[in-house]
Amino acid sequence: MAVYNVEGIVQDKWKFVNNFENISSLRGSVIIPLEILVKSDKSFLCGLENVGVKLNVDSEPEELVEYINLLEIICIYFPIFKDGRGFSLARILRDKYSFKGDIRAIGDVLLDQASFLFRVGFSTINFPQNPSPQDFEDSIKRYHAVYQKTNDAHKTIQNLRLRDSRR
Amino acid sequence: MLRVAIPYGTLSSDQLRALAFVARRYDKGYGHFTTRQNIQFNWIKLEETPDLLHYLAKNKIHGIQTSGNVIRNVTSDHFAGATVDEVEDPRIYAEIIRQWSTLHPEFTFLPRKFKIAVISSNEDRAATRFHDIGLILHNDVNGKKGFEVIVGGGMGRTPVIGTTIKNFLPKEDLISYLEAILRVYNRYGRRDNIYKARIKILVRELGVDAFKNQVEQEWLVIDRNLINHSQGEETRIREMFKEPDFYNKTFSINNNHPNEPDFQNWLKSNIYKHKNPDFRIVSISLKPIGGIPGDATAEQMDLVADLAQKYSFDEIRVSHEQNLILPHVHESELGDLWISLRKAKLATPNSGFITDMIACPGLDYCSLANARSIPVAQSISNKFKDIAKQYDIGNLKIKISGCINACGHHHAGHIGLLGVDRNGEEFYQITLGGSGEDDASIGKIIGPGFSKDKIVEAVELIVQVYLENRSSGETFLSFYRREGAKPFKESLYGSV
Repeated sequence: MAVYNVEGIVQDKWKFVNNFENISSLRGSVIIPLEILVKSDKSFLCGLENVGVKLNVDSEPEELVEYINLLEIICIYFPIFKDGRGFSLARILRDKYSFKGDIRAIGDVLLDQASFLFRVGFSTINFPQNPSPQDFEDSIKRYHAVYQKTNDAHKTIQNLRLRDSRR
Repeated sequence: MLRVAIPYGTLSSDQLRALAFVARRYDKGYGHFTTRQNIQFNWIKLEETPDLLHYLAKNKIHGIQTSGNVIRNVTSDHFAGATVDEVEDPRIYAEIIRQWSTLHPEFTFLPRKFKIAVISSNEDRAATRFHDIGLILHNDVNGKKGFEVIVGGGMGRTPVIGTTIKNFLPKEDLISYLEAILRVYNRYGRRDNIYKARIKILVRELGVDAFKNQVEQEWLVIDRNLINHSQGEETRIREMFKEPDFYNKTFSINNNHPNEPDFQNWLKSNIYKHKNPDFRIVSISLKPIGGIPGDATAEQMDLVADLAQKYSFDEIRVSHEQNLILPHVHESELGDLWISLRKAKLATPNSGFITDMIACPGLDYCSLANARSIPVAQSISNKFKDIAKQYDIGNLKIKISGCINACGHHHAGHIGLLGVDRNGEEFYQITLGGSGEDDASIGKIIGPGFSKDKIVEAVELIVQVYLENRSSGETFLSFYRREGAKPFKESLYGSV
């Protein structure tokens, strides 16, 4: 499993926790499912260096509001690549909740989706199929021009036209 | 099968020639124009597809988003930019939507396919109310332009006429509002059952008011300045659709109008009013008697491309009724045009009449179909080939689908035929009273279906009932709306 940001492979410090057992003895950088974070008393958080949360594609971000400032990372789990709800969820976390931390795509995400994921607001992707750095680069550079205005660094085709017409 | 996108049904002569080349070089010499203003090629070899797509791309054509759970090719009025009754050329906005929807990072993995149509006249020639989103451009009382936004229409196994969720959306806000609708659909549309995944089901399950409310809430938080198209871009696009310089060419002055009845018929049936009184819109029928609705050979495509270059300012349209349109033909050149079209069997004078049918590819080509559509359309066409009889019957739209997915728009046919499989045999269910136009309605099933040997006879009987009982000047649809199914039922199934 390789974690990529838009520039390439990144080191992954995070550990996933999936149940309540020994929750108070957790240390380090830990990602907790939203339902556990919501239901637990928050005392265990004191032992942690960094906290992240794992959402499902159908999670409602409203549930997250009161914790959002604690979080360094939000993972969105794709049960299957074609379930596109995660794309909207990331967009909402960035645009409506102004979340500035890492948003990571996990689960069944495809290399072909990398560019779309980054453009809607994901900052890292955990690919299950472990693509090579070259394949990754080819994938995100496949379409060098885009039409939609999103919050990423891409210049839109309209911007480029405007720039050219001013030359 | 390769489906090629023809945005808002508009082609240049060169693009049509490119499609002719594909038909000749990579297929069996013909292509099939579809109800979504696209073209399909049915005999493409997989190993030749990369070369083919490369060739299309060189001619600025592609097949992206013609399949899959994405926003599909945007459709529009095939008379756009030429008709008298429009507020503005709707293709300006269709192009803005085409750009926005192409490889949209957020909306490329939707619950199901998503179809948008844009028109700008009262007369609906694009079945707008049967789309996931239908947009009708109009002026408000202050002369500002905006859209009526209609959501949740569709054909398929659950036919629905869309509901208006906004009467007037300022045109500047088009993209941000579409984004809000798509985001609500992407998040809450059903993904557990593909037959319930279209937006029409979401609208029905939530209720229109709740759906609308969610969209409005979403729209409030969208950064409209960021998302909306720029006015500069709109101006640039408007320039691309500006009307041709109509008098920047010389027209033949001989007014060569043939003195033949076929020409007179063609003038009456296939010629439509143009916004410029010297010009006409010409519908080129792809429904020759006994032919396959929507098919055109490579030679026919090349010829239409040449004729468009000569007579119609290099422009061709594909209609959702599977015909080709030359939008800007000078009145004095109709005769010469007709002579050329007739030689290529493209001058059938049946636009809007009973033999101008819509039919999906059906079991002959499609792996989803339960029954054949094409042979039924051909038999009906042959049965009603007498043009005088067609004119007597008047405006009557037959639409044929080979399965419940309704690609042949049978729900919207005055007479709709739906192919079903009954114990391995092809049967056809008849619906009556549908309409895809501004008076949109969904046809109702009249009774038990008919076998393939009986279906043409049944259609004949239905037409007979209408002819014998209509009031003067009454169309088939108005007769049905007045009388209901009863007289047809009695005739088809005996007294009940």
